[in-house]
Amino acid sequence: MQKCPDEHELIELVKQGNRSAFRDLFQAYQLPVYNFVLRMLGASHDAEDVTQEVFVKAYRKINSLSESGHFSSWLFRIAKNEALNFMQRRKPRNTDSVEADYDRLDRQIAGENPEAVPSPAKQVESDELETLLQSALNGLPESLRTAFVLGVVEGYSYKEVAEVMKCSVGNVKARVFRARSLLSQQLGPILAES
Amino acid sequence: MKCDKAELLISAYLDGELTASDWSQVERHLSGCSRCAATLALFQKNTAAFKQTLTQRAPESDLWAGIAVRLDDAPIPKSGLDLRSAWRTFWQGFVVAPTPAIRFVQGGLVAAALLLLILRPQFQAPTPDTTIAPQTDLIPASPIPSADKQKFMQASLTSQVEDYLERAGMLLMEINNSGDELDASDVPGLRTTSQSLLEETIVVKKQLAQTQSKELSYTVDQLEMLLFDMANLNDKPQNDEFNQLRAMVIQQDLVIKIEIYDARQLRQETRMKPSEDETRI
Ligand SMILES: [Zn+2]
Repeated sequence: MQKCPDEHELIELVKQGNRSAFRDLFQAYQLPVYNFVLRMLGASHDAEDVTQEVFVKAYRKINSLSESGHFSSWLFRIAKNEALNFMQRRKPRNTDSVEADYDRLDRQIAGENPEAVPSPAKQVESDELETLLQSALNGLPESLRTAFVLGVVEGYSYKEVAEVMKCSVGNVKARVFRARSLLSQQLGPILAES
Repeated sequence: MKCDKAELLISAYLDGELTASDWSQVERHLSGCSRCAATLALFQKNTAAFKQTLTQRAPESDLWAGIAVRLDDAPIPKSGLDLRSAWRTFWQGFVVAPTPAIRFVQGGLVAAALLLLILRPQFQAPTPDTTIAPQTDLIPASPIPSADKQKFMQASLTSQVEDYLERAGMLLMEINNSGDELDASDVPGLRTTSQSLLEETIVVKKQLAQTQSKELSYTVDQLEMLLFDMANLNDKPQNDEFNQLRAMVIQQDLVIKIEIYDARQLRQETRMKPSEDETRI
Protein backbone atom coordinates (compact mmCIF):
# COMPACT_ATOMS: atom_id res chain seq x y z
CA MET A 1 0.00 0.00 0.00
CA GLN A 2 1.95 2.89 -1.29
CA LYS A 3 1.61 6.16 0.43
CA CYS A 4 0.86 9.20 -1.62
CA PRO A 5 3.30 12.09 -1.30
CA ASP A 6 2.55 14.53 1.51
CA GLU A 7 0.01 12.13 2.89
CA HIS A 8 0.57 13.21 6.45
CA GLU A 9 0.00 16.88 5.59
CA LEU A 10 -3.09 16.05 3.55
CA ILE A 11 -4.59 14.13 6.43
CA GLU A 12 -3.99 17.01 8.82
CA LEU A 13 -5.71 19.33 6.36
CA VAL A 14 -8.65 16.99 5.96
CA LYS A 15 -9.01 16.87 9.72
CA GLN A 16 -9.58 20.62 9.57
CA GLY A 17 -12.29 20.12 6.97
CA ASN A 18 -10.28 20.74 3.82
CA ARG A 19 -12.12 18.94 1.03
CA SER A 20 -9.62 19.53 -1.70
CA ALA A 21 -6.99 17.75 0.39
CA PHE A 22 -9.45 14.92 0.74
CA ARG A 23 -9.88 14.86 -2.99
CA ASP A 24 -6.12 14.36 -3.35
CA LEU A 25 -6.26 11.44 -0.97
CA PHE A 26 -9.20 10.03 -2.88
CA GLN A 27 -7.31 10.24 -6.14
CA ALA A 28 -4.34 8.46 -4.65
CA TYR A 29 -6.42 5.63 -3.21
CA GLN A 30 -9.50 5.23 -5.38
CA LEU A 31 -8.08 2.55 -7.64
CA PRO A 32 -6.62 0.33 -4.92
CA VAL A 33 -9.78 0.60 -2.85
CA TYR A 34 -12.07 0.06 -5.83
CA ASN A 35 -10.17 -3.02 -6.98
CA PHE A 36 -10.12 -4.53 -3.53
CA VAL A 37 -13.86 -3.99 -3.13
CA LEU A 38 -14.49 -5.25 -6.66
CA ARG A 39 -12.78 -8.55 -5.90
CA MET A 40 -14.55 -8.87 -2.59
CA LEU A 41 -17.98 -8.33 -4.18
CA GLY A 42 -17.53 -9.39 -7.78
CA ALA A 43 -19.85 -6.83 -9.37
CA SER A 44 -18.45 -3.58 -10.71
CA HIS A 45 -21.54 -1.48 -10.12
CA ASP A 46 -21.81 -2.55 -6.50
CA ALA A 47 -18.11 -1.97 -6.09
CA GLU A 48 -18.52 1.62 -7.26
CA ASP A 49 -21.27 2.29 -4.74
CA VAL A 50 -19.33 0.71 -1.92
CA THR A 51 -16.14 2.57 -2.83
CA GLN A 52 -18.03 5.85 -2.61
CA GLU A 53 -19.39 4.83 0.75
CA VAL A 54 -15.88 3.99 1.94
CA PHE A 55 -14.57 7.45 1.15
CA VAL A 56 -17.56 9.21 2.66
CA LYS A 57 -17.08 7.21 5.86
CA ALA A 58 -13.36 7.89 5.83
CA TYR A 59 -13.99 11.60 5.56
CA ARG A 60 -16.51 11.60 8.35
CA LYS A 61 -14.32 9.55 10.63
CA ILE A 62 -10.96 11.00 9.81
CA ASN A 63 -10.62 12.40 13.31
CA SER A 64 -10.75 8.91 14.77
CA LEU A 65 -7.55 8.12 12.88
CA SER A 66 -4.94 8.59 15.55
CA GLU A 67 -1.75 8.03 13.62
CA SER A 68 -1.74 9.37 10.12
CA GLY A 69 1.01 6.89 9.21
CA HIS A 70 -1.61 4.16 9.28
CA PHE A 71 -4.02 5.82 6.89
CA SER A 72 -3.89 3.19 4.15
CA SER A 73 -4.53 0.20 6.39
CA TRP A 74 -7.23 2.18 8.19
CA LEU A 75 -8.87 3.01 4.86
CA PHE A 76 -8.71 -0.59 3.71
CA ARG A 77 -10.22 -1.67 6.99
CA ILE A 78 -13.18 0.61 6.31
CA ALA A 79 -13.33 -0.87 2.81
CA LYS A 80 -13.32 -4.40 4.18
CA ASN A 81 -16.11 -3.60 6.64
CA GLU A 82 -18.18 -1.81 4.03
CA ALA A 83 -17.79 -4.69 1.60
CA LEU A 84 -18.87 -7.16 4.26
CA ASN A 85 -21.80 -4.96 5.28
CA PHE A 86 -22.85 -4.77 1.68
CA MET A 87 -22.66 -8.53 1.27
CA GLN A 88 -24.81 -8.92 4.34
CA ARG A 89 -27.48 -6.64 2.94
CA ARG A 90 -27.31 -8.22 -0.49
CA LYS A 91 -27.61 -11.77 0.65
CA PRO A 92 -29.77 -12.07 3.72
CA ARG A 93 -29.41 -15.35 5.49
CA ASN A 94 -31.83 -17.22 7.67
CA THR A 95 -30.89 -18.02 11.18
CA ASP A 96 -31.22 -21.68 10.33
CA SER A 97 -28.86 -21.47 7.40
CA VAL A 98 -25.93 -22.43 9.59
CA GLU A 99 -26.39 -26.04 8.66
CA ALA A 100 -26.31 -25.06 5.01
CA ASP A 101 -23.08 -23.22 5.67
CA TYR A 102 -21.53 -26.28 7.20
CA ASP A 103 -22.70 -28.36 4.27
CA ARG A 104 -21.32 -25.90 1.79
CA LEU A 105 -17.96 -25.80 3.54
CA ASP A 106 -17.88 -29.56 3.87
CA ARG A 107 -18.54 -29.96 0.19
CA GLN A 108 -15.93 -27.39 -0.65
CA ILE A 109 -13.42 -29.15 1.49
CA ALA A 110 -14.39 -32.44 -0.11
CA GLY A 111 -13.74 -30.83 -3.47
CA GLU A 112 -17.31 -30.57 -4.63
CA ASN A 113 -18.67 -27.25 -5.51
CA PRO A 114 -22.39 -26.81 -5.08
CA GLU A 115 -22.96 -23.17 -5.90
CA ALA A 116 -20.01 -21.46 -7.39
CA VAL A 117 -18.70 -22.93 -10.55
CA PRO A 118 -20.63 -23.38 -13.76
CA SER A 119 -20.23 -26.69 -15.52
CA PRO A 120 -16.61 -27.04 -16.56
CA ALA A 121 -16.42 -26.38 -20.24
CA LYS A 122 -13.41 -27.77 -22.00
CA GLN A 123 -12.30 -24.44 -23.27
CA VAL A 124 -13.05 -21.71 -20.83
CA GLU A 125 -13.24 -18.30 -22.40
CA SER A 126 -11.51 -15.49 -20.64
CA ASP A 127 -14.74 -13.80 -19.51
CA GLU A 128 -15.99 -17.08 -18.39
CA LEU A 129 -12.77 -17.71 -16.54
CA GLU A 130 -13.17 -14.44 -14.71
CA THR A 131 -16.69 -15.37 -13.66
CA LEU A 132 -15.45 -18.74 -12.60
CA LEU A 133 -12.61 -17.40 -10.48
CA GLN A 134 -14.73 -14.64 -9.01
CA SER A 135 -17.48 -17.01 -7.98
CA ALA A 136 -14.95 -19.35 -6.45
CA LEU A 137 -13.71 -16.38 -4.42
CA ASN A 138 -17.26 -15.55 -3.40
CA GLY A 139 -17.59 -19.02 -1.94
CA LEU A 140 -14.75 -18.52 0.53
CA PRO A 141 -15.38 -17.59 4.15
CA GLU A 142 -14.82 -13.88 4.32
CA SER A 143 -11.63 -13.80 6.36
CA LEU A 144 -10.01 -16.15 3.87
CA ARG A 145 -11.35 -14.14 0.97
CA THR A 146 -10.03 -10.88 2.40
CA ALA A 147 -6.58 -12.36 2.96
CA PHE A 148 -6.44 -13.94 -0.49
CA VAL A 149 -7.73 -10.90 -2.38
CA LEU A 150 -5.31 -8.55 -0.66
CA GLY A 151 -2.30 -10.84 -0.41
CA VAL A 152 -2.52 -12.65 -3.75
CA VAL A 153 -4.85 -10.93 -6.22
CA GLU A 154 -3.90 -7.38 -5.23
CA GLY A 155 -0.37 -8.36 -4.31
CA TYR A 156 0.06 -6.60 -0.97
CA SER A 157 2.64 -7.87 1.45
CA TYR A 158 1.48 -10.13 4.27
CA LYS A 159 2.54 -7.41 6.68
CA GLU A 160 0.21 -4.92 5.03
CA VAL A 161 -2.60 -7.44 4.97
CA ALA A 162 -2.03 -8.14 8.66
CA GLU A 163 -2.42 -4.43 9.40
CA VAL A 164 -5.71 -4.29 7.55
CA MET A 165 -7.03 -7.47 9.13
CA LYS A 166 -5.62 -6.66 12.55
CA CYS A 167 -3.98 -10.02 12.90
CA SER A 168 -0.48 -11.45 12.88
CA VAL A 169 1.56 -12.08 9.75
CA GLY A 170 1.44 -15.76 10.66
CA ASN A 171 -2.34 -15.59 10.54
CA VAL A 172 -2.27 -14.03 7.12
CA LYS A 173 0.07 -16.73 5.90
CA ALA A 174 -2.28 -19.39 7.23
CA ARG A 175 -5.39 -17.76 5.80
CA VAL A 176 -3.88 -17.32 2.38
CA PHE A 177 -2.79 -20.93 2.46
CA ARG A 178 -6.25 -22.14 3.43
CA ALA A 179 -7.82 -20.00 0.75
CA ARG A 180 -5.40 -21.42 -1.82
CA SER A 181 -6.15 -24.96 -0.75
CA LEU A 182 -9.91 -24.49 -0.95
CA LEU A 183 -9.68 -22.72 -4.28
CA SER A 184 -7.34 -25.32 -5.69
CA GLN A 185 -9.60 -28.14 -4.63
CA GLN A 186 -12.47 -26.44 -6.41
CA LEU A 187 -10.71 -25.20 -9.48
CA GLY A 188 -7.96 -27.71 -9.98
CA PRO A 189 -9.55 -29.88 -12.64
CA ILE A 190 -11.09 -26.92 -14.44
CA LEU A 191 -7.92 -24.90 -14.66
CA ALA A 192 -6.02 -27.94 -15.80
CA GLU A 193 -8.23 -28.01 -18.89
CA SER A 194 -8.19 -24.32 -19.62
CA MET B 1 9.88 -31.07 7.37
CA LYS B 2 6.34 -32.36 7.36
CA CYS B 3 4.02 -31.94 4.42
CA ASP B 4 1.62 -29.52 6.13
CA LYS B 5 4.48 -27.20 6.97
CA ALA B 6 5.86 -27.51 3.46
CA GLU B 7 2.49 -26.63 1.91
CA LEU B 8 2.17 -23.54 4.06
CA LEU B 9 5.64 -22.42 3.00
CA ILE B 10 4.95 -23.16 -0.65
CA SER B 11 1.97 -20.85 -0.49
CA ALA B 12 4.04 -18.09 1.14
CA TYR B 13 6.82 -18.62 -1.38
CA LEU B 14 4.46 -17.93 -4.26
CA ASP B 15 3.64 -14.57 -2.69
CA GLY B 16 7.31 -13.70 -2.25
CA GLU B 17 7.03 -14.06 1.51
CA LEU B 18 9.74 -16.61 2.10
CA THR B 19 13.43 -16.19 2.82
CA ALA B 20 15.93 -17.97 0.62
CA SER B 21 16.98 -20.25 3.44
CA ASP B 22 13.39 -21.29 4.14
CA TRP B 23 12.92 -21.97 0.48
CA SER B 24 15.98 -24.16 0.28
CA GLN B 25 14.48 -26.30 3.05
CA VAL B 26 11.24 -26.56 1.11
CA GLU B 27 13.13 -27.52 -2.03
CA ARG B 28 14.81 -30.33 -0.16
CA HIS B 29 11.38 -31.58 0.92
CA LEU B 30 10.00 -31.23 -2.60
CA SER B 31 12.74 -33.33 -4.09
CA GLY B 32 11.52 -36.28 -2.07
CA CYS B 33 7.76 -35.66 -1.90
CA SER B 34 5.69 -35.95 -5.02
CA ARG B 35 2.53 -34.91 -3.24
CA CYS B 36 3.95 -31.54 -2.26
CA ALA B 37 5.50 -31.14 -5.70
CA ALA B 38 2.01 -31.57 -7.16
CA THR B 39 0.67 -29.02 -4.68
CA LEU B 40 3.32 -26.54 -5.81
CA ALA B 41 2.35 -27.03 -9.44
CA LEU B 42 -1.34 -26.62 -8.70
CA PHE B 43 -0.84 -23.55 -6.49
CA GLN B 44 1.40 -22.00 -9.11
CA LYS B 45 -1.13 -22.56 -11.82
CA ASN B 46 -4.09 -21.13 -9.95
CA THR B 47 -2.13 -18.20 -8.58
CA ALA B 48 -1.16 -17.25 -12.10
CA ALA B 49 -4.78 -17.65 -13.23
CA PHE B 50 -6.04 -15.31 -10.53
CA LYS B 51 -3.36 -12.71 -11.11
CA GLN B 52 -3.72 -12.72 -14.89
CA THR B 53 -7.49 -12.79 -14.98
CA LEU B 54 -8.54 -10.58 -12.09
CA THR B 55 -6.50 -7.60 -13.21
CA GLN B 56 -6.75 -4.00 -12.10
CA ARG B 57 -9.83 -2.20 -13.37
CA ALA B 58 -10.93 1.40 -13.29
CA PRO B 59 -14.43 2.37 -12.22
CA GLU B 60 -16.71 3.23 -15.12
CA SER B 61 -18.19 6.34 -13.60
CA ASP B 62 -16.72 9.36 -11.87
CA LEU B 63 -16.86 8.33 -8.25
CA TRP B 64 -15.76 11.68 -6.89
CA ALA B 65 -18.93 13.42 -8.07
CA GLY B 66 -21.06 11.18 -5.89
CA ILE B 67 -18.72 11.53 -2.95
CA ALA B 68 -18.39 15.31 -3.12
CA VAL B 69 -22.16 15.79 -2.91
CA ARG B 70 -22.30 13.79 0.25
CA LEU B 71 -19.39 15.57 1.90
CA ASP B 72 -21.37 18.78 1.83
CA ASP B 73 -23.61 17.47 4.53
CA ALA B 74 -20.97 15.51 6.33
CA PRO B 75 -19.59 17.48 9.21
CA ILE B 76 -16.48 16.05 10.75
CA PRO B 77 -17.06 15.06 14.34
CA LYS B 78 -14.31 15.52 16.89
CA SER B 79 -14.08 11.81 17.41
CA GLY B 80 -15.92 8.63 16.60
CA LEU B 81 -18.55 7.09 18.83
CA ASP B 82 -17.01 6.68 22.24
CA LEU B 83 -18.85 3.87 23.94
CA ARG B 84 -17.78 4.90 27.38
CA SER B 85 -19.06 8.43 27.06
CA ALA B 86 -22.12 7.27 25.16
CA TRP B 87 -22.81 4.98 28.06
CA ARG B 88 -22.43 7.81 30.54
CA THR B 89 -24.73 9.99 28.50
CA PHE B 90 -27.21 7.19 28.23
CA TRP B 91 -27.10 6.56 31.94
CA GLN B 92 -27.52 10.23 32.71
CA GLY B 93 -30.55 10.17 30.52
CA PHE B 94 -32.08 7.62 32.83
CA VAL B 95 -31.14 9.25 36.09
CA VAL B 96 -31.61 12.87 35.34
CA ALA B 97 -34.62 12.90 33.16
CA PRO B 98 -36.23 9.51 33.49
CA THR B 99 -39.59 10.25 32.04
CA PRO B 100 -38.65 11.75 28.67
CA ALA B 101 -35.68 9.45 28.42
CA ILE B 102 -37.68 6.35 28.94
CA ARG B 103 -40.31 7.57 26.56
CA PHE B 104 -37.64 7.62 23.92
CA VAL B 105 -36.54 4.13 24.62
CA GLN B 106 -38.74 1.24 23.74
CA GLY B 107 -39.31 -1.64 26.07
CA GLY B 108 -36.78 -3.91 24.44
CA LEU B 109 -34.07 -1.33 24.62
CA VAL B 110 -34.69 -0.77 28.29
CA ALA B 111 -34.46 -4.45 29.00
CA ALA B 112 -31.31 -4.75 26.95
CA ALA B 113 -29.85 -1.73 28.69
CA LEU B 114 -30.48 -3.26 32.08
CA LEU B 115 -29.00 -6.49 30.89
CA LEU B 116 -25.94 -4.65 29.72
CA LEU B 117 -25.72 -2.88 33.01
CA ILE B 118 -25.39 -6.22 34.68
CA LEU B 119 -23.31 -7.84 32.01
CA ARG B 120 -20.70 -5.27 31.20
CA PRO B 121 -18.35 -5.11 34.13
CA GLN B 122 -15.69 -3.35 32.11
CA PHE B 123 -17.94 -0.39 31.77
CA GLN B 124 -17.05 1.47 34.88
CA ALA B 125 -20.07 1.95 37.05
CA PRO B 126 -21.29 5.41 36.36
CA THR B 127 -19.39 7.82 38.54
CA PRO B 128 -21.08 8.70 41.84
CA ASP B 129 -21.41 12.39 41.16
CA THR B 130 -23.62 11.78 38.18
CA THR B 131 -25.63 8.84 39.35
CA ILE B 132 -25.90 7.91 42.98
CA ALA B 133 -26.85 11.38 44.05
CA PRO B 134 -28.15 13.03 40.94
CA GLN B 135 -27.94 16.76 41.35
CA THR B 136 -30.33 17.98 38.80
CA ASP B 137 -29.29 21.57 39.27
CA LEU B 138 -25.76 20.75 38.20
CA ILE B 139 -26.58 18.50 35.31
CA PRO B 140 -28.73 19.97 32.60
CA ALA B 141 -31.73 17.74 32.10
CA SER B 142 -31.59 17.92 28.36
CA PRO B 143 -33.25 15.05 26.58
CA ILE B 144 -30.75 12.64 25.08
CA PRO B 145 -31.23 12.22 21.34
CA SER B 146 -32.74 8.81 20.89
CA ALA B 147 -30.54 8.18 17.86
CA ASP B 148 -27.49 8.23 20.11
CA LYS B 149 -29.02 5.70 22.41
CA GLN B 150 -29.97 3.42 19.61
CA LYS B 151 -26.52 3.68 18.20
CA PHE B 152 -25.01 2.86 21.51
CA MET B 153 -27.25 -0.11 22.11
CA GLN B 154 -26.56 -1.59 18.69
CA ALA B 155 -22.90 -0.93 18.93
CA SER B 156 -22.52 -2.62 22.26
CA LEU B 157 -24.76 -5.59 21.61
CA THR B 158 -23.18 -6.64 18.39
CA SER B 159 -19.69 -5.27 18.43
CA GLN B 160 -18.61 -6.89 21.65
CA VAL B 161 -19.61 -10.34 20.47
CA GLU B 162 -18.21 -9.65 17.03
CA ASP B 163 -14.96 -8.48 18.47
CA TYR B 164 -14.82 -11.48 20.77
CA LEU B 165 -15.38 -13.87 17.90
CA GLU B 166 -12.82 -12.18 15.73
CA ARG B 167 -10.15 -12.42 18.40
CA ALA B 168 -11.13 -15.96 19.28
CA GLY B 169 -10.87 -16.87 15.59
CA MET B 170 -7.37 -15.45 15.42
CA LEU B 171 -6.27 -17.23 18.55
CA LEU B 172 -7.60 -20.50 17.19
CA MET B 173 -5.82 -19.96 13.89
CA GLU B 174 -2.64 -19.33 15.76
CA ILE B 175 -3.03 -22.52 17.76
CA ASN B 176 -4.08 -24.43 14.70
CA ASN B 177 -1.06 -23.33 12.73
CA SER B 178 1.65 -23.38 15.32
CA GLY B 179 1.95 -27.15 14.95
CA ASP B 180 5.03 -28.64 16.47
CA GLU B 181 6.65 -25.24 16.20
CA LEU B 182 5.28 -23.81 19.43
CA ASP B 183 7.90 -21.48 20.74
CA ALA B 184 8.14 -20.89 24.47
CA SER B 185 8.23 -17.19 23.70
CA ASP B 186 4.74 -17.42 22.17
CA VAL B 187 3.25 -18.84 25.35
CA PRO B 188 2.82 -15.62 27.37
CA GLY B 189 0.98 -14.00 24.46
CA LEU B 190 -1.31 -16.97 23.93
CA ARG B 191 -1.97 -17.13 27.64
CA THR B 192 -2.82 -13.44 27.95
CA THR B 193 -5.15 -13.51 24.96
CA SER B 194 -6.83 -16.62 26.31
CA GLN B 195 -7.25 -15.09 29.74
CA SER B 196 -8.87 -11.95 28.43
CA LEU B 197 -11.14 -13.93 26.12
CA LEU B 198 -12.03 -16.23 28.96
CA GLU B 199 -13.06 -13.27 31.09
CA GLU B 200 -15.31 -12.05 28.32
CA THR B 201 -16.80 -15.45 27.64
CA ILE B 202 -19.34 -15.25 30.41
CA VAL B 203 -20.59 -11.92 29.10
CA VAL B 204 -20.75 -13.20 25.57
CA LYS B 205 -22.61 -16.31 26.64
CA LYS B 206 -25.21 -14.25 28.38
CA GLN B 207 -25.63 -12.05 25.34
CA LEU B 208 -25.95 -15.10 23.15
CA ALA B 209 -28.61 -16.47 25.45
CA GLN B 210 -30.73 -13.55 24.22
CA THR B 211 -30.42 -14.71 20.64
CA GLN B 212 -31.34 -17.81 18.74
CA SER B 213 -27.73 -18.87 18.33
CA LYS B 214 -27.86 -22.36 19.78
CA GLU B 215 -25.03 -23.61 17.61
CA LEU B 216 -22.88 -20.67 18.43
CA SER B 217 -23.60 -21.03 22.12
CA TYR B 218 -22.48 -24.61 21.90
CA THR B 219 -19.32 -23.61 20.04
CA VAL B 220 -18.57 -20.98 22.67
CA ASP B 221 -18.95 -23.64 25.35
CA GLN B 222 -16.29 -25.71 23.62
CA LEU B 223 -14.17 -22.65 23.18
CA GLU B 224 -14.45 -21.84 26.85
CA MET B 225 -12.96 -25.18 27.83
CA LEU B 226 -10.07 -24.59 25.48
CA LEU B 227 -9.54 -21.06 26.72
CA PHE B 228 -9.44 -22.31 30.26
CA ASP B 229 -6.66 -24.73 29.43
CA MET B 230 -4.82 -22.16 27.34
CA ALA B 231 -5.03 -19.55 30.09
CA ASN B 232 -3.41 -22.01 32.45
CA LEU B 233 -0.66 -23.16 30.16
CA ASN B 234 2.76 -23.63 31.73
CA ASP B 235 5.63 -21.41 30.75
CA LYS B 236 7.19 -24.36 29.01
CA PRO B 237 4.31 -26.60 28.06
CA GLN B 238 5.08 -30.16 27.20
CA ASN B 239 4.52 -30.83 23.56
CA ASP B 240 1.87 -33.37 24.44
CA GLU B 241 -0.03 -30.88 26.47
CA PHE B 242 -0.12 -28.30 23.73
CA ASN B 243 -0.79 -30.82 21.01
CA GLN B 244 -3.85 -32.02 22.87
CA LEU B 245 -5.23 -28.51 22.81
CA ARG B 246 -4.38 -28.18 19.18
CA ALA B 247 -6.07 -31.48 18.43
CA MET B 248 -9.22 -30.16 20.06
CA VAL B 249 -9.20 -27.09 17.84
CA ILE B 250 -8.79 -29.24 14.77
CA GLN B 251 -11.11 -32.10 15.67
CA GLN B 252 -13.94 -29.82 16.69
CA ASP B 253 -13.45 -27.66 13.62
CA LEU B 254 -13.45 -24.71 15.94
CA VAL B 255 -11.80 -22.34 13.50
CA ILE B 256 -14.36 -22.97 10.82
CA LYS B 257 -17.24 -22.85 13.25
CA ILE B 258 -16.13 -19.49 14.60
CA GLU B 259 -15.50 -18.14 11.15
CA ILE B 260 -18.98 -19.01 10.01
CA TYR B 261 -20.35 -16.79 12.70
CA ASP B 262 -19.21 -13.57 11.26
CA ALA B 263 -20.84 -10.25 11.73
CA ARG B 264 -23.54 -10.91 9.18
CA GLN B 265 -24.71 -14.05 10.82
CA LEU B 266 -24.72 -12.53 14.23
CA ARG B 267 -26.60 -9.43 13.18
CA GLN B 268 -29.47 -11.53 11.99
CA GLU B 269 -29.56 -13.48 15.14
CA THR B 270 -29.62 -10.52 17.43
CA ARG B 271 -33.00 -8.97 17.18
CA MET B 272 -31.75 -5.47 16.72
CA LYS B 273 -31.11 -4.32 13.24
CA PRO B 274 -28.13 -2.05 12.76
CA SER B 275 -28.76 1.34 11.30
CA GLU B 276 -27.61 1.94 7.77
CA ASP B 277 -25.08 4.32 9.07
CA GLU B 278 -23.19 2.00 11.33
CA THR B 279 -19.53 1.31 10.77
CA ARG B 280 -17.43 -1.08 12.67
CA ILE B 281 -14.30 0.97 12.80
ZN1 LIG C 1 5.29 -33.30 1.28
